[in-house]
Amino acid sequence: MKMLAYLDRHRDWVALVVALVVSVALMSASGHPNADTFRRTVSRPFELFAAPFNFVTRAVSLWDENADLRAKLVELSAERSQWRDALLENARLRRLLGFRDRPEFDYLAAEVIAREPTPALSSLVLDKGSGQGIDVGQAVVTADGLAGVVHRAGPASCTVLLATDRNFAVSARVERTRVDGIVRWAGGGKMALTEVPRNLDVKPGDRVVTSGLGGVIPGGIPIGLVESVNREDQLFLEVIVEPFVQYHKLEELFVLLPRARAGDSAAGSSERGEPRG
Amino acid sequence: MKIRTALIAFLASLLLQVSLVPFAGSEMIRPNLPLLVLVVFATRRGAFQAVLFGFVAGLLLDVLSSGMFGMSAFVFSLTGFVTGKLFHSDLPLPLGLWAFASAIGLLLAALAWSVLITFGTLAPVGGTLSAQMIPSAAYTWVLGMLWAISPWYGRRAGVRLD
Repeated sequence: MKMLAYLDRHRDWVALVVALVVSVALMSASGHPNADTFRRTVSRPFELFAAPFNFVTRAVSLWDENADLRAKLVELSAERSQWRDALLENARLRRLLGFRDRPEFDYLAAEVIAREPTPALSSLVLDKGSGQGIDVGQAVVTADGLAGVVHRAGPASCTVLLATDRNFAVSARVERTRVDGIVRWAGGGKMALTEVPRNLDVKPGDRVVTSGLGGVIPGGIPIGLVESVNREDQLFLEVIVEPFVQYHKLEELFVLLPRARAGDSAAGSSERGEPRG
Repeated sequence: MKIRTALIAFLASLLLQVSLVPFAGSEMIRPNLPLLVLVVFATRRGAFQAVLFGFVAGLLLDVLSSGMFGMSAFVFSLTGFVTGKLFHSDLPLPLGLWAFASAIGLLLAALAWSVLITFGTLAPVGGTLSAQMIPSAAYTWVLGMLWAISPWYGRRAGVRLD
């Protein structure tokens, strides 16, 4: 009753408010071309008034949305990383295809699954073994050149002795002058071309490749560039070679399988002693 | 001012507004006779009845208008309320007070119309007000004063000429 009495006392105000509200509603609902602009303009003060209240509800929803977006970001980052890896791998494989000019060999791709735990040694474990035709002594290459030779071959994995191992040696040749020698590890990241008579023509910048004289590792596989030539020794030259392959970055390698063995499945594991080269 | 008289006056003003008034002014400036009737009604009947009268009259005007439906209802309701609240009197208003009351009512209506037009079109409110609405309000106010000094209409409208 009090409410009705109050409304009756202020009926002129009530009538005004009702009339104005209805008028605004009619304007907003009208199909007039200006109605859209009118609606936006009229609703702006209400939006400002409602903003503090909306902030709380929006903050809660934003919290959840933020968590979802973070999870999505992590997922996308991982996906992006995979794509990037695939891109780089693709580039490397393309370069290798350019290198593939040996019809007498098949290239068996293999990935590094383990590295030598002993600091004094330098070797890798690949995810392919005798089951895929790999045998001891076979050359292992990258797109840049010779990486090493197969040292041991199990049914599903093999150990590769890298060219940077102190036990590694391979017959090699200076490409420009056909001078033969033996490439060994020279300490650090360098290699040495040894057994080269002092009077032969070797210069810094000469390209060194495998000679193929060992009968297992084919000739012509790039090894590195002559970095320096020391002629102080009376019998042999001391030739330092900068290898092409970056041995600390090896990820996927290719084992050169002789055509006759390609696809063959060697029975059992083979442990055939030291690599030949 | 009786309700019946107000309705007749309003309908007559509406008829004139849509027929003769367009020829009595320019494209931009023209008097608003229904609004003048509303102001007279508000001073005689008070805010409450003026709001109701203004709302219904405004809706009728909106039906005939090409503007947003409800715009005239809004302006008429507001103008009727303010004029009735400030200048309602059971006795006839002195001429000076009538002049002031009608000026306030018409100016308020001009301002409200300008703001609503601005809301709808985002046109500058100052330009609309100064170039169109205030001159039109002044035109209407002059007609209101002529009506007020007329003995018959002044007496009917409650305007005291002393």
